[in-house]
Amino acid sequence: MPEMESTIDLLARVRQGDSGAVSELMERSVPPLRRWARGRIPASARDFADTHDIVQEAFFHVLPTLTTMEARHPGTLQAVLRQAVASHIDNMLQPDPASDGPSPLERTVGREGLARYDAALQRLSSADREAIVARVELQQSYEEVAIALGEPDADAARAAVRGALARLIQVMS
Amino acid sequence: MTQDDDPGRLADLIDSVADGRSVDWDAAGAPPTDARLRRLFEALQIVERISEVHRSEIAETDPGRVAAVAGPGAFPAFTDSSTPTDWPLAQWGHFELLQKLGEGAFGEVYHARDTWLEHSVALKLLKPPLVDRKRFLHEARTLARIRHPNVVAIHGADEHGGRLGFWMDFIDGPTLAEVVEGEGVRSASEAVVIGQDLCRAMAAVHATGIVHRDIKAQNVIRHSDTGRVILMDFGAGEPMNADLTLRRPTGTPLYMAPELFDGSIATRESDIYALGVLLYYLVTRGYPVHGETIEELLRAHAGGKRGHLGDVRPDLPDEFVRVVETMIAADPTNRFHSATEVRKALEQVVAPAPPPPKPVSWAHRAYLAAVTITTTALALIIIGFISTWVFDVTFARERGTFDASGLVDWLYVGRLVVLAPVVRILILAFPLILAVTAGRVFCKLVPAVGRRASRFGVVCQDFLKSRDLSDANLMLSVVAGLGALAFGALALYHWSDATIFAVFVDTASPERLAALQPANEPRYDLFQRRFEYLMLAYVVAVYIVYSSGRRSDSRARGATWAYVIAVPTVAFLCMRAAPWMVVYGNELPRIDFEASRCYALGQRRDETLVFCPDNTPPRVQRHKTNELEDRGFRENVFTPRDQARVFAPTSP
Repeated sequence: MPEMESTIDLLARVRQGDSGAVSELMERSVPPLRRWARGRIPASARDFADTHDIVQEAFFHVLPTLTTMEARHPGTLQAVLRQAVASHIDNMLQPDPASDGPSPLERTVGREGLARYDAALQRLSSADREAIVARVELQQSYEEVAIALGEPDADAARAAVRGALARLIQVMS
Repeated sequence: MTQDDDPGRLADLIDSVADGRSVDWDAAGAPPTDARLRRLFEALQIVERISEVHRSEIAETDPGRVAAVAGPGAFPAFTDSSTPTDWPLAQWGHFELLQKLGEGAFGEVYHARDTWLEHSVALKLLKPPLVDRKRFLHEARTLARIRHPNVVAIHGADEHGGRLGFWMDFIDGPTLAEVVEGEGVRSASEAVVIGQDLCRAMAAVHATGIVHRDIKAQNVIRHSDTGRVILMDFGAGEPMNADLTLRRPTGTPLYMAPELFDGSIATRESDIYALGVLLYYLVTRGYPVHGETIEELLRAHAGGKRGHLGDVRPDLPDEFVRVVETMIAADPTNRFHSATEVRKALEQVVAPAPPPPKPVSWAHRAYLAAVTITTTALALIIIGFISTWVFDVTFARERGTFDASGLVDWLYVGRLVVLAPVVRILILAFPLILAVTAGRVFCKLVPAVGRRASRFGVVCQDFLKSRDLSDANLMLSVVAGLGALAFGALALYHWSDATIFAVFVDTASPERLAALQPANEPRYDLFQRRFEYLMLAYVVAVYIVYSSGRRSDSRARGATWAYVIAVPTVAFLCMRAAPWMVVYGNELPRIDFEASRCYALGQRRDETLVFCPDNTPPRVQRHKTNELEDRGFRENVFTPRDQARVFAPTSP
């Protein structure tokens, strides 16, 4: 898995203070995060808080922690960045989220449905969680999922996603 | 569909969701009757919808990617029918909103009228849907801590109709960005004036323990009437001692110091970098590091790709280029470390013309001349006295009896001691001065070479700063220390010459006296030439360190200067002044006593003190003057017996 190794190598270079590695890491991580973040920001807020800025700020916020982060596979980095973006969105919005109007996800599955999904996701193993997030939230191809999870190929990634989905709905139900 | 098919149906649906295919839940059949399976179906339906929302979001931003991942038509289009809410405002508290001046991510700035006090203010209101109250109040509180003519003043904060706001001075004028866009690039002298004002503002900001973090042309307004520049927008300002983990990297990327991209915290040096970029922008309308996106900027910083100001504007004064390049040095340790340091450096760029010399009265000129002459004469007298005193000690001549020398004699000796080495050092220094002057003229005639030389100077300065070697006190002490070592080494190497004044001729061994013979004078002269070369090198080294210190505004303390001056002074007194009379002032009247060859050291009444070099000790004797035979000529007292002008065959 050369790609996986290179992401981990990048993290190692970031730890050594290599600014070129930060640039590469950002190029690799920010676009999927942007796509992911759009579903979580209320439409009414989008005019005021550009998704690009939020993700960028979150990335910079996490940067100092990257120097101490030990990642076994690239999914760990994505998870940390997603968490940072989510916190950043939460901090930016009003304490009462209802006043911002629902996000696209809340409008579609309801606040309660989204909470059930989020809670169940947290109860899964990190591998299952990464599989779900990569495929369902980041809409990555099976090849990309394979790289993120460290699976040997797309078929193995598909099997991992199916298994993770089955376990997710078990927990949700 | 039967109940038995439900697990299979669920597996198929899981496959569909996993593969990103749309699921028609109505066509998928009736919900399972089994409660547990039904809950699983419901959960999967939630997951499928979540997946669909994410697909539709990606479709808006990156349709190609969706097609690549899930295939065309794999999901229904998602339409966001909501529109951003608008909050038309004409009044906020007792402020009448006149005109919107600007808008940022979190706030809007209005030109407003205070209806109570009836004057204009700039009113900043937080946008309602995004209530980052903490950040907004932080900006107001930051501003309230700073009072400076070049920093916008805040007058109050309040909340009306659920909207937070604070009001400040209304500055009627364009931002520096508008000035450059509208009127073109500025001259170096104008940029220097603006830079100095902003340095004062920045120093006031830093003095309150805050870093601004968003200094840029858009955040500086030039007052239309007074031309005063005013720094504003402290939304990103943050205490320097804030919890490091809470510090957020903010700012405008083109103005952001490279270390901020690596996650380093904002510091005074990063503010100085931003101000350097602002000055660069004022004179070029561009930025030192370009990038359309943050990724491009990161790459440019990582690859060290940046435009040198001297290349973009070759007509700018070298010193201005040097200051700006120092401000935007990639390594923060190579930048200036305080706003005051930058301001002083800018002062040197366009230094005001020196005031016309005041008419000096003749009396004042006479006074200055008298002081100079007196000081010089005093110094020469002291040097002459030391030389004479050492001679007296060497020849066992009693001061006040046989040595009747006075101020005039000392002045004469002092002049002889000083004049020759000073003239020789000036002759040695002449080609050096000529080469430096020619180099400077060449740099002026060929600007490209001048810029390279200037850049080399910056590199050298950066190197010294990076190793904490730009401190004048430290470097002058090092030069003085090395000088002391070098003079010491020279003295050791020429030990017999350097300690010539420590020979007591009255009792010294004949071998020791032989060292003083005229035949050894060339060797002594060589020692003196080396001493002069060393003295010149020392003076040049001190001058270089002093000039370098002046450029970086590092001044040496009085004690350091005392050390720097003491080293060559002591060396001069020991190696030049003290032995001078013994070595060069030893031609005395030849007066023989009986068969002994002697020289008159001094006379008192009817007694004469003579030095008889060929005698066994004691060689310095007193004799009645009428017992001595005056040969009527002078001779070097250390001349060997067989080379003396009048041979004395009966001498022992």
